[in-house]
Amino acid sequence: MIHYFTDPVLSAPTIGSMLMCLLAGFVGTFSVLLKRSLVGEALSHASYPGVILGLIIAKLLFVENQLIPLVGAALSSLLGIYLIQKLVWNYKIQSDSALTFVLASFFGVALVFLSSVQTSYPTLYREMQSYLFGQAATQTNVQVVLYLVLTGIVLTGTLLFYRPIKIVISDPEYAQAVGINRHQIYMLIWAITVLSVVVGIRSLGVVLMSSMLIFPAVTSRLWTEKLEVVLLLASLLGMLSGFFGVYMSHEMSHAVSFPTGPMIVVCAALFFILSAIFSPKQGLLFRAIRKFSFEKRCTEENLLKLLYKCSVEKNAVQFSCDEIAKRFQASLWQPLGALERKGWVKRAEDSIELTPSGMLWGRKIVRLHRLWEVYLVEYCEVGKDRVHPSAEAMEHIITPEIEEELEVLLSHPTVDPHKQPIPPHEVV
Amino acid sequence: MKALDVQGLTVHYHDSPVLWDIDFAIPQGELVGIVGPNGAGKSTLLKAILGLVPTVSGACWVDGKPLSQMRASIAYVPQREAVDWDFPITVEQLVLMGSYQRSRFLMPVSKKERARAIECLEKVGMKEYKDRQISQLSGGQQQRAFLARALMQDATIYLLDEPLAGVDHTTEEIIIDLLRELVRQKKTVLMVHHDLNKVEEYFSYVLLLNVRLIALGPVGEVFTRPLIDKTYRKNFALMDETQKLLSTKGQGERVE
Repeated sequence: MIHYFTDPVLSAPTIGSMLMCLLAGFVGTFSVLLKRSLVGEALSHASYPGVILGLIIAKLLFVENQLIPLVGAALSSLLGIYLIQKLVWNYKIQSDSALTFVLASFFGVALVFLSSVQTSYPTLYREMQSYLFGQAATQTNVQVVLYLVLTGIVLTGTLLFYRPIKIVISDPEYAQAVGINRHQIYMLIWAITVLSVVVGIRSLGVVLMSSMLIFPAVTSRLWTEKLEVVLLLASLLGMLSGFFGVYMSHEMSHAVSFPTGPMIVVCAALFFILSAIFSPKQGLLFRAIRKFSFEKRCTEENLLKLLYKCSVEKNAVQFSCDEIAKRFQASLWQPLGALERKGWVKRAEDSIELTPSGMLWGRKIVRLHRLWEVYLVEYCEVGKDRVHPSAEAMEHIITPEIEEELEVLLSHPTVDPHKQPIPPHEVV
Repeated sequence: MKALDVQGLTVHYHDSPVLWDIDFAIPQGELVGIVGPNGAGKSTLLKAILGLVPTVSGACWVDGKPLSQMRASIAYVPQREAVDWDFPITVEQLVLMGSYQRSRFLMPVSKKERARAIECLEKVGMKEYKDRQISQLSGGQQQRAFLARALMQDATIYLLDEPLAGVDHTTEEIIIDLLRELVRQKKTVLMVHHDLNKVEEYFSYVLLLNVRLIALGPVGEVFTRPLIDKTYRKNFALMDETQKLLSTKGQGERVE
């Protein structure tokens, strides 16, 4: 793999793609957190007429300058964001409509120019097209250096204004109250977005550019709750997608011709899918596990509650398995095993014994159940006969803080709406 | 000298007045309740003082100086709805935001600030939640975290927008105790409040507001039946209507 960084032909596309994806991942995080991800999409499309104009100018001047189309891209993108703001502020147009308007009209104008040169200037046409879907493989060292400089500028700028940016995104009103001009911060965010678009369109093309602004941020958000980590992870994921995009498209090139840009996007999407399954916070897998263990705990607690009730009815702590099995209405053995492991019941040949600690927990569950019933009847004015199902669910989730709150709110009730005693609070 | 002095404050939303020519001054060390019906402009008053909404006219002075020079000495606790709760930030980081005016740009947060943030969290009984993401808190805990951020700022004036709306008993007690403590330290607190039953218990001063300033003064003098009635009875619909007409006609729009 190391030759991707040393090979004279491969190194520029590899490093160039990685840089652009790193930058896009980093910068895109801000627009995603602002809940304005579509701005990236609009800005990348809006850059295209600038690219086309730049290429035409370069052609007219007979120069082979890579910089002209990129400057064009930046200018036309900035014009795009200016128009979006104008439409929203002055004409009260919904921001999604304004975004679509700018995206489509800029892109449309560019496409008109593109097709007009198709037959008369085939070389120019091909060059223009390379910015449409991207052409990572033909990047040169000059571009890499340019990207490096732009990345440096963006990262320094962002880090300098990191604290105000953070405050503005999370709490815009507070930001203003402490004297931050939030519109300046928004402009800063859009300016760095434009720069990252400029860096990115050569590899990814204007059509797919926004994916790298959005995917890494959305993916890393699944893993962490800290902004610093989100930013780092998004940059890293961007970089990895950039590398693997180049890697896979090159490795497979002898069999099929997969273009690099789309391959990068596919990699970024794969990272997202993997995260959506395996992230501990929101991943499908862990969610299923947590759901399963919660349901299991509910069944165990229901059994414990039943045992506690039996012990109150019979004034005993030992019961026959058959009797409990008959009353429990669900499979007994699995939850019983779990309770035994926790030391809340003891099992003999044919009987179950509730231990003192099991008694304590059972009492607590009954207590929460009845407290909740009192709350529903007295505080929410729910009919007495309708409170049971809700209490069946709440008894498993009421936290000690909510319990205390209920106690105070209901001024320490001793009986539930069905005249059953509420066991007192005990330290468990 | 008054802690907060507001002169001729007028605010329009969509061409209709929300606040109209408000003048008042609040002495230092009072706990002021802002009371009035829905749509009376209570939240807007706080925002207008801070310059968060465009004002038609008016000016504010803090300790005799224009507000723009005194931003660091006003702490604001917005309504819970105004905040993006999904934002990836922990409670501790949220509280550290309050130190913004002391260190504006990227520098590692100093140990002193960090210790102070923990201290502020301790005051609101939230120390053990410092590493939680802010959406993982109950409503009351969120409110307390926001109060901790305001404390972090170490201001002399505190503006709170309905901090007691929909919070639990514990939170209500903690917040009120804290505000009383602030007032004892000669700080000034203005708080939008909706529960008329608690006004006499909680506040030393009350500001009755319904688009116009109805009354301001010590609770015993101002929080009286006739004045409360006046606050809740006033209707500014006509004012609204004419103001709208004036501005649409003024802009050359067609009025049927």
